[in-house]
Amino acid sequence: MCALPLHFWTLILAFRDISWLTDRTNAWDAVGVVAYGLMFALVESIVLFVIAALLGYLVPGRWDPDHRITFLTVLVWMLSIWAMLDQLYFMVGGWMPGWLITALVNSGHPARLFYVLLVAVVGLSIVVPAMLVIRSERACKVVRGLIDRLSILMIFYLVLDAIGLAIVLFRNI
Amino acid sequence: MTASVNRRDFLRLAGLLPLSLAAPRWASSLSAPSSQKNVIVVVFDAFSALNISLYGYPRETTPNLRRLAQRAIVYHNHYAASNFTTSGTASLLTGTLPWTHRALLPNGKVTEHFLHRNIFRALPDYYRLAYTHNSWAFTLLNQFWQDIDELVLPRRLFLASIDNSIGVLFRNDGDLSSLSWTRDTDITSGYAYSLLLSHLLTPIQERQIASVADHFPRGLPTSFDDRTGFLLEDAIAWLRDRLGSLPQPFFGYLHFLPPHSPYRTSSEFYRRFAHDGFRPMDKPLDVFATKGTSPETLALRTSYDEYILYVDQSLGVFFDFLKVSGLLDTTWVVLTTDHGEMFERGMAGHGNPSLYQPLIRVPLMIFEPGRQVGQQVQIPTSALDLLPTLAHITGHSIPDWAEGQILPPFAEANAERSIYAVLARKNDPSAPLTIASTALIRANYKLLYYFGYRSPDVKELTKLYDVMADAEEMIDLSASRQDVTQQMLNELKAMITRVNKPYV
Repeated sequence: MCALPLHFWTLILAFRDISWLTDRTNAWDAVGVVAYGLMFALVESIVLFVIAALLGYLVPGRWDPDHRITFLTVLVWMLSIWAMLDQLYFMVGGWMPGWLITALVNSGHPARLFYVLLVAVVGLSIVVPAMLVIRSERACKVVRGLIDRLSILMIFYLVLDAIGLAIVLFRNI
Repeated sequence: MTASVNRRDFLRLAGLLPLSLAAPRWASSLSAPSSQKNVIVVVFDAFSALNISLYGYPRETTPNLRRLAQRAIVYHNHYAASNFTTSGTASLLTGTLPWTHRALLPNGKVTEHFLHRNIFRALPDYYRLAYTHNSWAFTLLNQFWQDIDELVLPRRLFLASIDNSIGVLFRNDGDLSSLSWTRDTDITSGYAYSLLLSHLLTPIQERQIASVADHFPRGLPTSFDDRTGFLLEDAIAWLRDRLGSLPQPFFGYLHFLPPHSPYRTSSEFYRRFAHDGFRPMDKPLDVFATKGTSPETLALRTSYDEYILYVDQSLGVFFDFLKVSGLLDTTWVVLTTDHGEMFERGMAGHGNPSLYQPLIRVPLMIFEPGRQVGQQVQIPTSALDLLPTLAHITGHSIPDWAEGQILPPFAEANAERSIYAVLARKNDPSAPLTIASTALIRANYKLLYYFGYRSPDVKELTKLYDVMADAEEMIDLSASRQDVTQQMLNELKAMITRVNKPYV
């Protein structure tokens, strides 16, 4: 499940970028850039998997494998969602609602309050789903079902990775 | 890149020792028999001749350039075709005026007509390399990609860029792997394919920047749209490495951003001119003045002059390399700029609507292979002349679309020719010129003709200066020399009518 959000993001951005690349290079080079992107995503996925696996050792041993997998998957997904939101901030141009800015300014300590709010929101967004998966059998089953369905998509990504690797190898021989 | 400081010191203090040890081996490989000489065009952005001591500026801003000029052809009245990057660079690259190539707007492009009419196309049998720090200049180079064998991305020579390492890792596909890495990790472009690497790299990049930040008290040199920062030392070091392995003959177009704003010199030159007592001539506020206070303008001028010292130092290192490696004997080297910079009349920088001398009188020096004695050229010359001159000296035919002339001493000089400069940043490129600043220089005289601006003062404004007798442009002769003014104005208007015809 580590590879899913990383590949999902890479593919969306790379395909969105392909006309820019084709304009400035040519079709073969544009495909090459996407191929490198997939290769980097694969490396990134492996690194993230290793980190998640190591984190798995910190999970209590009495948890069954289903709970372990769903719990770690939720952590990886939430981390990915925040990374996506951070990038979207640059893509669509950062903004903050006027009322929030006013409230921060009126507080007298805008920076301090802003960071407290940020930590609270990010913390809750991770803790709440993680707790749900741990405490609720139903939530755990829902996530587990989702993982099973998305695994099929992963095979498709792996095929794309293999094609990307082949293109990179071909270009470098 | 983390060793930038060491390399910088190495370059400055001891760089030439190992270079000279390697010289015999390099010289033999770099001077491989070739009937055609290599060509390198080095462009330093926003480099005004008025602030260069070699051209008479009271501050000693260019000691290295003065030394190098002893074996160069120095053009003392050379004019850029416009006063900002896009129009000025497009004119250098196409050998035509802005009203012809139509790259009029900031970050604009030349018309499709010119995609295959450029300096790279004029040297078809050369290996053509191009680099620029400046993204607006890159937009133009990018338009000519089909005629460039190696177009290096701007970020390649920016700090905190791991592109270089990636390029080394995928040596056979260096350009594309670097491009992909940039698209993968450059979060500020909004297209970072990578979800996590892009975030992890940020602290690494910040650490790299911090490692050299102490050497730049005003902040790291940056471009106006990429705040990552770069060092000229890195650019020169890269160039030194790259030139050693390029297929010959090669043509390199290298467009570096300094001394363009922000003016951030190194600690070595910081405050060098702060208390030198220099006071530039007081000039009246211009109709386009935006800054009133002269202390502010003087402070900017001083920062700019100190930044030129940094450019000059890098130039010295680069030329020492060319000399020691033997490349100077097999390569034409051209040093110039795309436009100037001004700090007077209530204006600072460039891109304002005026075309005074500091903005368009720019340096041009040509180093001929093997030349040992300098030569001074005083007649007015134009940035458009570079393309036909390079074509001529490398034995190529001069393209029929080029609007310039072969520079003296490579052809007979015409001291009475008309030289133009054009600025139309607010004019639709696909429409006739209706809002523009234009200049016509002929012999001693320079006519400024502004038209179409909203302000009643400049709806249609004409000024005439004798730039040989009055280099500071203090005395407007448009009233006292009405005959000359009218004659030059008629010529200028006739030209405008002619270039407007296809767009009417």
